[in-house]
Amino acid sequence: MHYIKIITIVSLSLLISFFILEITINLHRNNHSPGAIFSQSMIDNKLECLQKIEGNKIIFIGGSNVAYGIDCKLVREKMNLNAMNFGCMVGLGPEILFGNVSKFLKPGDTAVLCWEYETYRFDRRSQNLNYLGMMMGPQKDVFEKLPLLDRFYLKLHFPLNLVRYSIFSLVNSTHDLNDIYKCGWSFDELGNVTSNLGTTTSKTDLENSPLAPLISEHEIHQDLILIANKILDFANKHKVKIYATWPNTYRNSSYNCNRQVATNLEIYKSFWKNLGVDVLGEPEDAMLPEQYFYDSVYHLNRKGTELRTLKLIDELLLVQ
Amino acid sequence: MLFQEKDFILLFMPIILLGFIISRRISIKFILIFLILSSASFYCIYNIYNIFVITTSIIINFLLGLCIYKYSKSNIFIVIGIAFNVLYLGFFKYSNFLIENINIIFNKEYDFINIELPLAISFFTFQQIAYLVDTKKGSIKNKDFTIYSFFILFFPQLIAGPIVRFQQIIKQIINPSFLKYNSNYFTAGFCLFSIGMAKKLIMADGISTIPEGLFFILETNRIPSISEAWIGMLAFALQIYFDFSAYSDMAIGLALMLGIRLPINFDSPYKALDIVDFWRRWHITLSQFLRDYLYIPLGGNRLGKLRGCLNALLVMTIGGLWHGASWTFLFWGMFHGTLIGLTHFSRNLLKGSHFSSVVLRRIIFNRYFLFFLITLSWVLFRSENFLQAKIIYQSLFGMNGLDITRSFSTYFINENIRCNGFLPNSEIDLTVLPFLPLFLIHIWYLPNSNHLIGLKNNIKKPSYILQFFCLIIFFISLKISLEETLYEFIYFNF
Repeated sequence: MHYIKIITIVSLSLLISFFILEITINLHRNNHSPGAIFSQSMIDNKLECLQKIEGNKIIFIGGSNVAYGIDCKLVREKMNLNAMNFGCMVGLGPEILFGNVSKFLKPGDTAVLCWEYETYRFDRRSQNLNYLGMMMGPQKDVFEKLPLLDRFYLKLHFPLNLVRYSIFSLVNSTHDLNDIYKCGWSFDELGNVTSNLGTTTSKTDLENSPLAPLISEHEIHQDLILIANKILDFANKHKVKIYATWPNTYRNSSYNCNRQVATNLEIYKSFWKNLGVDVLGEPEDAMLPEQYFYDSVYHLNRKGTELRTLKLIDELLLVQ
Repeated sequence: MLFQEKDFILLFMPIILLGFIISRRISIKFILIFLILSSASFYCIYNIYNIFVITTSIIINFLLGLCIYKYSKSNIFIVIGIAFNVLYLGFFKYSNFLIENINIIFNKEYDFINIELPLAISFFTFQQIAYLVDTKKGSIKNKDFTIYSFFILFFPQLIAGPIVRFQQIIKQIINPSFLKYNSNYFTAGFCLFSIGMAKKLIMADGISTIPEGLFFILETNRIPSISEAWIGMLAFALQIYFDFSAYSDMAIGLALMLGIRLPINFDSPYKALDIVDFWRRWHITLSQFLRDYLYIPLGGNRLGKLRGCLNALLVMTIGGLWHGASWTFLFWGMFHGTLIGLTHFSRNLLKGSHFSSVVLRRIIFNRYFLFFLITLSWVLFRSENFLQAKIIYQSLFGMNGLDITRSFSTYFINENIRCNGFLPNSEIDLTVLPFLPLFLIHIWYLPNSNHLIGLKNNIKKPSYILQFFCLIIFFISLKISLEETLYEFIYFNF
């Protein structure tokens, strides 16, 4: 009898705990946290621009390195092809980014995957607050398509403290998404960042921020391989051309003669090679000196963006 | 490994409990050896080299204890013992502080010593000083190294207290009932552990973003506004309360699950009416240590009221410095020492006059005014240097202007906070603000965990409703521990 009581209490409390978690997630699904609203508003605005583009197009997909690194106006001029900068945030992960763009990809279109090095470490189960907030918020459709075990695991990792932001959003429901988007980063109609004038960072800051996915040891997670395969399946089915390229980043002095950096870059190159995806240029081509950077190791200023884009155009013209 | 970490809860704790259940069927000695080894491995996880520091200290103190016991009439070994412990602690904790000050005063450039502060050194040193002094007094007659090692290493109290006396432990482990499963202890211990875990993960860590925000403003060479300073310090007062309370609950709860009752270390200190009462409730075992091994040997208040006040000031200053090698900690201790002296002084003053006693009691000796004073003192405790403390004090009293606009205005510098006031200020997280009054109600008016579990009396099995409630908060806390960021206990730094 005593053990039955214990088992009943434990089961009941476990059930209630899951119920509380489910309520919290549902609250967030209906009242997204500000971070999720901010990211989604950026995606929405870029999708709106994308929708307006008629005819064949080339879309650059990635995190902020794309937003702050590729000038689609220049691409349009030089290649005489519609271009869209779909650079958002690295933390959103490749499946959210491509999943949104894929709705607007038509046969004959080209998608250039320009992933930050962090993306090569993508592992659904150890993702950041932004990703979890999006998956259990505005991107619930992507979430629902995940395997059951992954969904359960992500739910367990859903940060409960997001509930206070959900309450905050519930109270502050009068915000204008467009305002949030505009005040964050300034984008033009092709999705290029326009505020990256001059330089707000120093060489010391850049030197002090070597990229962990380059200098530390790791392997590519199975999740990323599956996602990449799904992207390629989609591309084959819809006759969309897929290319990969390297993210623009600062040429840190610690990368020179660093065996780990070389090993990691080889791993990333093999990743694309194994998938059968053409890669534009070499990682070193996208590594630039400090004068071309705006405010971080991934964010180029106007001068850097122009240089990087011209180089990328040359590479694109070579393969097309 | 932290108590609230998933590895501890899902791996370490079950292994220990299982090992404890098995070893209990063998003998007391076996239990002790098992718990010593488990505690040592728990300690090693933080830093394997620290195990040599603690082992050296344990061996030397045990040998000194034997000498003190054997040559009870001689004072030499107790003097050596105390000197050894003070120097040992001083070397690891205060060497660089000393060098820094010598460099400043004498304009020298001596290099700092490259040593890491061994975890829990302040705690196990004090515990061993108490052991030596009690051996000298004749209240301890121990020759057993296993029991002594267990007394120091027992992992629930090893890292951040309570500072346990040898007598409190030995009585329990030599009792044959230690070998029997005590379901009251186990259930009460689990409930207490769950309450502590929830306090840490939901309450203390939940509001930690506010003080972090305040100090981020200072670290980025900006001046906090009056509202930011008050909100930040109020939140820190609550954070440290829940953080330390959580650790105490978890430590006592864990020990109870292993059949050992540790002394109460925290008893709703913000319900205290004056500072003396506060120190009877906050870090109780440290206060008792300072009282028994410092204040009373210095003469206490037996040598006159003024001397009593000076003794209190000295003891609290040392207590302040015990928390950390910094002038801010020293002044924090002095601040408390001064308040204790003033409290004793005003109590004496009020003895004869009934009217003024009632008035003063209402105005000065109440929990709200005390909370205000304690919050002011936390500025020194939390600040990394005097400059930070000075800026916060200035902001608290409006000396940096009465600018409250940054916290609540609709335009901020950071992109995350500019959005027409919709997104919260990234420095002072406004979404946490509604919790502050709720937490204040909790600390002032609700019963504490000691009361809920009945720690002050004979421990009884908690009611099924309480067990049910504790299980829910345990599962929710366990879920939070799966999330990425976990914060250390504040007292782990001491």
